[in-house]
Amino acid sequence: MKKKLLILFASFFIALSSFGQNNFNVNFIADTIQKNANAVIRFYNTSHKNISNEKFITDVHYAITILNPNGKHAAELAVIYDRNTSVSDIKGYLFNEDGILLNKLKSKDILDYAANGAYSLFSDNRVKYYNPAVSIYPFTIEYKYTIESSSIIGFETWMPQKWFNISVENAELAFCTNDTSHFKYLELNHEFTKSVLYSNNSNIYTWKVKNLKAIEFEPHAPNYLEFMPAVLLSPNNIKYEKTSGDFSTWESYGKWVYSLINKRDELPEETIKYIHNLTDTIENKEDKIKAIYQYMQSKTRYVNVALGIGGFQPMLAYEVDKKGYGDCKALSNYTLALLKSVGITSFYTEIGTGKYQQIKFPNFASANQTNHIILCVPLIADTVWLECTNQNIPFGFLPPSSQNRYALLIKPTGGELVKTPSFSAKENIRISNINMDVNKKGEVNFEINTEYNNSLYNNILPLLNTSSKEQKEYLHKYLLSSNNAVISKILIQDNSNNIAKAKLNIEGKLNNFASVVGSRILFSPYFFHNNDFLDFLPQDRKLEVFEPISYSYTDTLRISFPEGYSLDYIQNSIHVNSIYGQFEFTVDQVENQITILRKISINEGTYNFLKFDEINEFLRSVSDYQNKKIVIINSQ
Amino acid sequence: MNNELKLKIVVLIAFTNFFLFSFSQNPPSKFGKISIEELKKEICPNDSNAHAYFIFDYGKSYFQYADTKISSDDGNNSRKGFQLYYTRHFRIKIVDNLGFSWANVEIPLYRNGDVEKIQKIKAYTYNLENNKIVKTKLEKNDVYKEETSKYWVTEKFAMPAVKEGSIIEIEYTILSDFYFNLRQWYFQRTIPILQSEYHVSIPEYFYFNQTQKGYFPIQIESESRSREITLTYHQKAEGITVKEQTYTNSHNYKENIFHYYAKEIPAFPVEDQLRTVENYLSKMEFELNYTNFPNSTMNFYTTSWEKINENLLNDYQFGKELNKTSHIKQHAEALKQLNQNDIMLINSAISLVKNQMTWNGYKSKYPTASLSKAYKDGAGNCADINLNLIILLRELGFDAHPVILSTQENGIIHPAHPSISRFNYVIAMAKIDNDTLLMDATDPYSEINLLPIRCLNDKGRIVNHDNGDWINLMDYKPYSKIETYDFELRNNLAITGTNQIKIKDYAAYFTKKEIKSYNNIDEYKESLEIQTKDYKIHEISVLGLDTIQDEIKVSLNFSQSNYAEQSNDIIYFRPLYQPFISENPFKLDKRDYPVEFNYPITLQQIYTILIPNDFSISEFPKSIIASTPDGKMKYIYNLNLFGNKITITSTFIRNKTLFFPEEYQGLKDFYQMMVDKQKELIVLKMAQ
Repeated sequence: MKKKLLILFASFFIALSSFGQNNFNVNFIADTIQKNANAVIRFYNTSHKNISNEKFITDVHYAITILNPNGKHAAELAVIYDRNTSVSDIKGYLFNEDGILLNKLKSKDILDYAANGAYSLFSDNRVKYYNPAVSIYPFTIEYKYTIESSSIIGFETWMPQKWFNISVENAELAFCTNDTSHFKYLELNHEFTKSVLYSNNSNIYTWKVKNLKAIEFEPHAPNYLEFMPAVLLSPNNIKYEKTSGDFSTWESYGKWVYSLINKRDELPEETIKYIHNLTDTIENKEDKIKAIYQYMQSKTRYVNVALGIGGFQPMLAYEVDKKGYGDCKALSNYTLALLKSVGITSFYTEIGTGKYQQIKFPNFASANQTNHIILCVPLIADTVWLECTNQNIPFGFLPPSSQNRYALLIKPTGGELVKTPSFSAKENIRISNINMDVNKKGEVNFEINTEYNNSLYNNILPLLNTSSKEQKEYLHKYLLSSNNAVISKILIQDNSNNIAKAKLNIEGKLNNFASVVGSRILFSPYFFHNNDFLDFLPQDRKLEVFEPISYSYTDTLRISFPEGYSLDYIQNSIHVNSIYGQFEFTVDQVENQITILRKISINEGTYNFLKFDEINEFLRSVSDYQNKKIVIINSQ
Repeated sequence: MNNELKLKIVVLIAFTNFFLFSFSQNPPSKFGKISIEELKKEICPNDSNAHAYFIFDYGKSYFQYADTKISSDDGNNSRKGFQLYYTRHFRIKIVDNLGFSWANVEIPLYRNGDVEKIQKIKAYTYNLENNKIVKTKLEKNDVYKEETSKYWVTEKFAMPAVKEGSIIEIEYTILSDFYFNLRQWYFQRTIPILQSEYHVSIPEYFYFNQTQKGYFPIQIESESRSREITLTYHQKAEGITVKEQTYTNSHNYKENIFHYYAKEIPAFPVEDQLRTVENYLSKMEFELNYTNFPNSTMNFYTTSWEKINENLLNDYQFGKELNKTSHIKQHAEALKQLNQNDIMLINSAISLVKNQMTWNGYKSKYPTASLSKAYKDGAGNCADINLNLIILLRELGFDAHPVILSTQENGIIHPAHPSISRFNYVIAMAKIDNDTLLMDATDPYSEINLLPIRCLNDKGRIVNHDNGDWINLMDYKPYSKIETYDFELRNNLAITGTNQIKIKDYAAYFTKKEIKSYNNIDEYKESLEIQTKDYKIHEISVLGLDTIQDEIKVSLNFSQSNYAEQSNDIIYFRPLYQPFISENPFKLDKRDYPVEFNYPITLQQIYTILIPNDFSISEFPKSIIASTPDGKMKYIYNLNLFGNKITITSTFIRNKTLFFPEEYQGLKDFYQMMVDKQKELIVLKMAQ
């Protein structure tokens, strides 16, 4: 979806700062503000002014000091606009380290081009772009521009820090309106200095922040809206192109979405007939849905042409039927129409998919919390969720990126928030049986049999429909990267039925697996698959650790070693229980065969610094047991 | 030299393959004549891994005289003369859903005053339903026109009703007023092509240089025929003296027709360590050499390398700009006062230009506007910067010249086909005695003979008053690093010690870049620590970061707990603490195209390791010397024991930057041997 683009970009309050007059000497930036920062926002002023019901003027004025080449991207200007918005008065000034003016931005330097991302074939989005030529750091760049919107559906979330490794000296958001019932706001993660001023028949709301330190990116951290200061702004009433809507609740927001999709589900007669032929003899309702879903998958592909009410309205089901393509809206609406043709009710469903996008605020409806459409089919016993934008996934599989979060069902009566399902560590499971045969030269013949269940099916999904050449390349690069492997057999099977399930079978040889030193052979217990969790938390880990789903691995590793050798050393069995997960490592030896049973399970959740020691201890056991070498010795 | 080798191979392959084609200029199949067999096929006949393939790809370029009816009141400018037509007709079989992206089509059109136009698009998708062919037409209003950028418009469409097994067929014609823009033809793409042909008809008035590229052979045939243009002049009455009349006039001219064919072209694999696929994809390129219209003089665009040299020297945007020196004179005088020796003075000149001017990221052999303006503005493209450097060097009395080149992603220059347009970059060259110095002031970290990676591409062309000459751009400087580790293994399995690193040439270039991306050494240190568990740097110093040519010296005190492992009475650990290559970059069984490195490599690690007194050394790695037969790659592992002290020297030298596919296995094995050797363990035993 292209929603992001319609959300207004940051802006500024004219009365408070005049252009090109500040002192941008880098020496004035406090050390604490420079620490871990690639760029420092000296000031960033954004103001939205409501000039009539649907018209807004957004002024943006900011200056940012780029401390090093990693922050260079923050010096680029990229203002995205479309047919509902126009950009004017772009100004830019470049200053050196001492704050001395070097250059002014000339309008001929601003490029203007089509902004169709990798996912859309066509839309009317464009971008005004400028990238200053500077290679001496630090430097400061100041920009100012105005965006006029003839209709909007929301505002960009105001997040003064913008992103990781950026600090802020001063930032300010202003919102000016003569009708306070017209908008709402939500403050996150910071005590903002807020004021409300009444003048010239207008209310002016302002939020200010000072001296925000740079936050470093850390893996496995929660959604940035959990810790970065932000203000969400949303109109309560919108007029967008020819539509109007009430965004005060998710229910009323859903009504607006319904008005966009309503009566777009007509299908050609032949198709209706075909669907009846396909399903009339099927008794079970769920099987009917499955047949229709699979028909849709075989008939369509994902192509995004974002036109029609700013890209918010799905293509007609009739058109999708004819053209055989569409985006998430179009394909969901088409599937809805197919189901409807045999009397099955389903709901067009808005969702935020991925770690950084989801409906986070059940009491604060706004258009920028969702970015995807799926379909919800209620059954008496259960609910079927249909991801209609992927031709390869099994019926009913909801990828982890859409699990365990709010979804908004779009009903004729309005929106209804429900939670998508989540699965336990017993359901999201990867089971491996690995046989290894170590010889005297330290080489090993191996066979891996792995089954991926439920959400972990997602890990093997990219390989499922690729060619055997691609599978081999992928496995060489990612699974067997470090051991000079020769693969003799690969078999990947999708065994999905009621749940998503796939099997991977590999046979081959690792030429340099064990170290042969004198009479000893040393090797680590090698489980082939990478872990989805971290190896360790660095000592100064700051952000909370976030695990979106629970999952578990059960690995059985059988290692045979040559006649004449005996086991000299192996780790003791261990069982670690922590709030973060469980780890079990059991060793068994019968003559020349060692059997290791390893079980790891990770608990979904968010863990703060009080838990870091416990997590680290857990992670250390896992990695120690994975790295510590088993020693066998020639006993003759 | 590398280039010659490559060419030889191309030529060899070209002569050992022969195809017999019928001499036809028509498409392999009539539009819409789809066979049921093709629709039934489930895999590509010669590649079971393909997700889609071209059944055929057919193209035709020809010139047509635009206005054959001329009226006396037409303005001279409105006459178009010859226009260029380009017709493409292709069929793609979509094997499975990973091939769907081939059903989304984009046609870029050039505009610069005039705009190239698509005359018509005919496009259908064919599917097999109940053993019958069902065709679906692309509707006109499903074709979108994107105003991509200032010079480009793109027509885009998604083919309708595409499923696994579909065949799509598309035909379109582009009409262009840019008659120099004779379109190139790719015979190879990332999916297989069963049959590809391109037919080019060129009136004798135009002469194009043709360049064949890539490994896969293309068969070429040519013929000529006689053509006629009949022009009708309409003279309108003008006053009393000129009466209205119409007369016709016929011109005969020769048309040269070239036919290019290839069959069963394999998919081009996406591989790492290739500078650009453009050097290896089979294709035909065209460049307008001259035009020679009746009753007018020959108009040369390119001819010989000598002529290109001469043209550049006389070009107002190039050679003539180099003669304007007033904006730099003063700076040159100031530098002269420094009384430095030649090399120091040249380095000072480079520093001055680097400080004065910043690269705006654009590549060109021509300045943006004038060199003096760019110099004053303090920013510009590579020509703005390096041509100013040349002026400065000349003012300082050096023998300095431009070297034009093609950057890596732009492909190599074909020495047999003189072409000015293939060059997209310019650097500076100076001579001191017999030494050649190459310089590029666009990059803050580049040095004399240490060019940015983008410039490391075979040969460049010196532009001088002696007809110009070729100059090698590669292999001046290696990537070199010498590390001296001195650490002690403690009874508690921790190690603690020092590491002194001398970093030179390309290694210094990258290290400077990396360290400068942090605000200070402290943040750099933290970034190193975070990479390894239990690794701690107690002290770090970095010398030579801000000088232009010296090596960098990094010294650090470090420790790592839990480094060695103990099992019963033995301790074992990897003595090469931080191996310079820990994973083999070559993982695939075979390679179809060469491996290209940017520079030679010299790496050395010297370890001195002290072990605990109450342990004795039980097992240790063998010393080895390994070398490739040509001696261009060497690895030496040398271990010595002195009581409880171990010294190891691990040295890797690679003096070669190009490896052919047949050398791939040897290269891969050599790297694997090094990786494995560096992983070997030392085993200690508790003393009795």
